[in-house]
Amino acid sequence: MLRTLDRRRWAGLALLLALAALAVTATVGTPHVLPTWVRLPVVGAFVLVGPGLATADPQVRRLGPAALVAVSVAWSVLACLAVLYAGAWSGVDALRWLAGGTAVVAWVRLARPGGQRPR
Amino acid sequence: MLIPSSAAERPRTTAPPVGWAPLALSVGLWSVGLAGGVDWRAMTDVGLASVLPVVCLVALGVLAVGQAVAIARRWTAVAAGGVVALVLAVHATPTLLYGTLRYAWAWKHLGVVDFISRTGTVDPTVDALSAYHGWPGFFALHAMLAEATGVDLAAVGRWWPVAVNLLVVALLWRLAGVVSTDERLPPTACWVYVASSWVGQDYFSPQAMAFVMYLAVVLVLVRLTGRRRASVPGAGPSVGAVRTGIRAALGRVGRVLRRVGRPRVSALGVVPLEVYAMVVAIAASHQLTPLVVAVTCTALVLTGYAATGWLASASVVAGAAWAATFAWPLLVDNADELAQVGSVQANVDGAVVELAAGSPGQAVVAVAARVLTVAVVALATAGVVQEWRAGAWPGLAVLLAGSPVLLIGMNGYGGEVLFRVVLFALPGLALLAGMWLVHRRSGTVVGVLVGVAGSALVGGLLLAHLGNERRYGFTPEEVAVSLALYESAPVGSLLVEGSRSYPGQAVRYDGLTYVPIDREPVAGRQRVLADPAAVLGEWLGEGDHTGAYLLLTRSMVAETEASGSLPVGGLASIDRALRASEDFTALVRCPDAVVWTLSSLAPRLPPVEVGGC
Repeated sequence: MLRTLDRRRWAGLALLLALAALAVTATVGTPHVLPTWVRLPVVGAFVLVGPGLATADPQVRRLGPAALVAVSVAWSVLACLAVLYAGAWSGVDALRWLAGGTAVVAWVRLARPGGQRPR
Repeated sequence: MLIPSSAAERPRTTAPPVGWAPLALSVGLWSVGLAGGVDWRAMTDVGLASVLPVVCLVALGVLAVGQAVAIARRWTAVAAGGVVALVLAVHATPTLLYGTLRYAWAWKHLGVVDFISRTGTVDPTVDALSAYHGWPGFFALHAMLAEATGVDLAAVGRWWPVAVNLLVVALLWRLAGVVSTDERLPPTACWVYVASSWVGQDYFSPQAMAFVMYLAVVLVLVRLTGRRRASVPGAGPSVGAVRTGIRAALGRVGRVLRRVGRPRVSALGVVPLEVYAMVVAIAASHQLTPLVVAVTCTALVLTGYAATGWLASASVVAGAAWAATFAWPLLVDNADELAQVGSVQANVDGAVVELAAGSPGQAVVAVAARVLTVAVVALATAGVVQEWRAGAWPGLAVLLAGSPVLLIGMNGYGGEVLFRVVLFALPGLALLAGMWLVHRRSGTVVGVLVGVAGSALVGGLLLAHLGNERRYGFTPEEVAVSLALYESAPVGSLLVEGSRSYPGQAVRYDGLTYVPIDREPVAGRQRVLADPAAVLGEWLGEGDHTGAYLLLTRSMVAETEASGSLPVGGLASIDRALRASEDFTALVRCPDAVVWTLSSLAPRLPPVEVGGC
């Protein structure tokens, strides 16, 4: 049972990190590595669920996808505002900071033994 | 946290294949109706209902009946599908028909996104749309999306009403599950919500995003932190219970006040961090929603539906702190609006549409909106009375429906406060109305009530929500001309507009000075109509502007005729007069839009290039 839980948690972490990496890849290159019709769903999917999956309490996640989307969008807004008010706005940089922050938080939360956020 | 229901012990049933037939038939009929072609440009002043094929109206009828049957039979999946189908019918249809982003303010929001992308900053002192620069969360997010993906946000924004309404419905469904064990309540409340949501704040806007977050905050709080049940059997508001409740509330206030100045980190752990993230994101994205969040969170804490006093403090502090820091220049400029706090009459006066001023069709639309609101409030009131008499006081739903009313005493919000009250109260009203429709009733009675009420609400919605489409929908030609004008006009130009209802200010909006004819004083409008060439020649010729333009569009004509700000044919008469005048040159003319300038200025202005015109 414990091994199953660990596998599930690691699989979830891997998927989330992959989504974050893909979102960052979407911003790479001129011309971009990925076409627009791929970049929008990839980045959109990441913004809509990535930060929420990384940060949200399991009980919050169980409230359904709409709650998860609201949480994800909230964190995305805060990340964008931080970049905006830092004085060096770049949408690409904002996405990279968001993806990086999401990956770090996800790693810290999900890779920690027990996978629980300290209270 | 649930109302015990006579339906609680009955298992959810799975719909047989025939149970899906009405839903499938209604979707098919609606699709056939749209595929057959709808000449939406032929809309009258009652909006989209005037051009919808009869088969589409039949589809709505079939959908309403099918939904009633599904709810009565507890076919939850079918009922959920019915709610989704209604969302698509109401909110996806304009998107599919017009092919462009609907509603002028959505285009203005694109302009603020464009400002951030161009300048890398926000400027609360800018002349136009300055309020958005004080609360830029929504715009910064979309600037990121646009820059990172290269997407045309106008194409994405077209689908916002569908996405927002689906998210709201999903959250409301969960909230309904909190307040009742009756599995018929979630689909019923969601059906009532969609069928009575005429306010139309679900377009590409900060309000829509903040509204979704507001509902998510409420759901997380009551579901995860509430200390008391969402409704309390046998604890209706008798005098003794009210007295007890007041004492308990005052006790909680005292405990909250005693905690101020002695922060305890552990207290933050009671409420999920996600709630605070959403509260701050709301505070940074919209002016009004933080007030609603603060009022609602405070009410939830005082009544025990949410756990910690810090939440109430944080929700108030977040909004106030943002306004006092990043939005301070705007607060100073709008200090007179702050003086309206507490003045209910002043705040309401600007919000009520004068029925006599507009066209007959628009009067019908306005009346439909009022009737729809009254109907939902009546159903909700009946729900409160029914639950109270049954000994199950629906406290949470009453709180959600009632707390937004306090907005009326706070701010006029530019004449829109009543619309925002309806917006925020509607989820609570829908829950209460749903309770009246389904609680303690047999399947047959539920089916009849939901069928009749649902059909009536949907019919009213067609007028109330889609009744202004003649001025909210824009043709591709209008969009092309407007964008071309904004992209070519030199910074420092003057733009005289027939009205503000057009796809404008979407790019480089900060470089122009705007004069909408329909917002001039009555005497000024009369002067323009009496001698357009002379008066507009004065306006365009005076001042130190680098360029000067007059823009007239089909949607402006619709707007001015519907609102009565200009007489029927007023803008058309202006266009005719300028055509007959040698002092004016049309830089570009398409079937639905024309850009005029002074003939003396035309040679030195950049061309306004629009393909196909």
